[in-house]
Amino acid sequence: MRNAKIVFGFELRSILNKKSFTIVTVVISVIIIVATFIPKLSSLFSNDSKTQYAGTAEELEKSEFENTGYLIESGDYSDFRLIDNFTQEFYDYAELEKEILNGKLNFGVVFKGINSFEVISNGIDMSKVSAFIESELLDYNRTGFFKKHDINMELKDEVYGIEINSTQTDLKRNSSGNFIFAILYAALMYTLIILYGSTVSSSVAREKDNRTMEILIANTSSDSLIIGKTLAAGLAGIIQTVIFILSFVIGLIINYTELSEKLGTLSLDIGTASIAVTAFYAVSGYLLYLFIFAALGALVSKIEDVNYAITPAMIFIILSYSMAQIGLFSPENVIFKISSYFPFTSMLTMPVRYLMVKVGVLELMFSAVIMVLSIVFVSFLAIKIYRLGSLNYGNRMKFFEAIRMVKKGEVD
Amino acid sequence: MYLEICGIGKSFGDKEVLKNISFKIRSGRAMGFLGRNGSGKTTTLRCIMNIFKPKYGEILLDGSAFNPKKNRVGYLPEERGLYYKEKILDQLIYFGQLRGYSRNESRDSSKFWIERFGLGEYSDKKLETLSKGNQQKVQIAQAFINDPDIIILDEPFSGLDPVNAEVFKDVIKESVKEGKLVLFSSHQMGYVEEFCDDITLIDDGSIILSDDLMKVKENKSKGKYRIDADNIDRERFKRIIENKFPASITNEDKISLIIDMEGKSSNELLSTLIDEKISIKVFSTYMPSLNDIFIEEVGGNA
Repeated sequence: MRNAKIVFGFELRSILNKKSFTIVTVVISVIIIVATFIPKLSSLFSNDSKTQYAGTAEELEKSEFENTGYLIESGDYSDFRLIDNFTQEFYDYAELEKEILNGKLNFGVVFKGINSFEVISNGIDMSKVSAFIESELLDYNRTGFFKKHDINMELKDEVYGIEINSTQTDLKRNSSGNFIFAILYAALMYTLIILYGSTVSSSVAREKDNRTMEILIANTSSDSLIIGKTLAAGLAGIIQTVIFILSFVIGLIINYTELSEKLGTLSLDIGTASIAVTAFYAVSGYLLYLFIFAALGALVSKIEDVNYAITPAMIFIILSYSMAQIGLFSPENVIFKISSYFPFTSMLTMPVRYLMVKVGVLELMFSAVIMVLSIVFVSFLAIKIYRLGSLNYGNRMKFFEAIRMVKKGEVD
Repeated sequence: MYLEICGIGKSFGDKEVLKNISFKIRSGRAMGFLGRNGSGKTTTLRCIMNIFKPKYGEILLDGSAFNPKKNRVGYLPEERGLYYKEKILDQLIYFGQLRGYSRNESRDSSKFWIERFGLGEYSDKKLETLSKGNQQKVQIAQAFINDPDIIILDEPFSGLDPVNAEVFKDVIKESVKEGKLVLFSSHQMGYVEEFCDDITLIDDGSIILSDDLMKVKENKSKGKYRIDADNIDRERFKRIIENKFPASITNEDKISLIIDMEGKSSNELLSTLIDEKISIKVFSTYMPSLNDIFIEEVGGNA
């Protein structure tokens, strides 16, 4: 293990010292930070009138009713104090509509009876204003009812003060926040594996390409080399991802107000278990794929052959990502369920499944055990193929030929 | 300390490239491992370094199974290669660490060998920025970093100019003097002859000779003489000798004829020539060069 640590340190320094690593990290971090400014920028460029009612219904003040009109078609609104907030009263529906279309009024409300109203606007989201008027009108109706039946007004507050406590258990986690989290997880893992998988393959192939392999094999074991190289590339990927996440957090802090407005309506149902499951599959799946890429990199003798060699792994990643996409919209899909046990796809599909629906502990454990065994098997295979590769200079080995040679014990 | 290669064999597919190879190398002596292209030299060295697993036979160090990773071994493979994008000092430190040195020990040793091979000014440069000759020196330096007890070098002189070859020769001579075990393959017979104590010749995967170089030379020189005349031309001189001693001329060069008396006395030869009134210009025992031995031993199989 001492030599694995030395290989790890050398390879990690080698990756981190590359200019391309620094450039990619800086450029993507800047893009992420800029992306967090999008809500702020979009509000700057959008029509003011369309955003003036962005606050909650309770926050709507009298001033928010400037340049507004109302029309009472029927009902007694003599004691409805909200009426006083409007700028102008209309007696003709068409007239009110015209003023709104002309832009003289921001919106208008037509009271069609004591418990019915219509909000008229021209391209403005009126849901919050509508909710506010509805709440006020409901209160007005209830007060009227109590007065009409000569009921003590103090009882009204008591009646409405009664609280019912309830909990809700939905077997289908339908929270929009989980959906977004699952999408982000799948996209992040996909990018991470694509980026660092090929780095591992190139790193493994480079010794054969620059003929350093013989010196290395003479000095240390293939185990140390493969483990050191794979973990170094893996950690470099994690370092880069952490920098990206930190960039997002910085952007989030700077644009907290705008982003919280956009994200505040999302409901998250992510507990410790969800985080643990996601973390387990993220780390183990990442490791599994890195070892797969290492094994494929060990098959080639030249760096330029790496892209061709890693095609099978790329197909599995795309398949895995597609499965995760299916699961996001149809978490009960049978193929999606099966894919959450298959190690090459479960790193994306099991966390997505767990975030979207309830998954039994036994199911989880079964999938996790398959994943761990797969990592052990693939890393063993990668080490053997790498050792085998050191004996086959010049030629690109075929995967199944390599397996046959490993089975025949042609390597130590 | 001695390293013993005991009857090893190796095949690639149906082709048997090493056939029951055996020879012994002792510390404090340098052994030249010679053979034609494709004779099995590199495969033998790779088997010693456990890069290839022999099909049969074993390699022993002082009578016990030899594991290159558990001994201090410096190895220069035939396939030259280092990290082109890494700094020279960094990669030498790395190799030193892999062989068991701490980072500091490895740094000190790397700096020493970088200076020794005259590469001090390139220490912090990437390998790709160096000339081919200097890259070759870095590759040789890596073999010496961990102060190895056993030094195995595959074609170490190829690519070195005469000045650098001289520096490298000095390093090998010092290593031998320090009691290290040195084995190297080469095509440059002059270098091998200059400082090798023992030679092993391999041809078509079989050892055809393995012995002390001086002893080999003495054996090859038995009954052989250099002789040339002063008062007649070379062709007439050759005819006279062939008449008197049929099939005795084995070779000739600019200096003289080389003759094999096959047990006959040199006095007999000299008195015959004096009787023929031939004035002798050159007469000495003939000591074959390594090149001559090599051609004699493996050239016939070409």
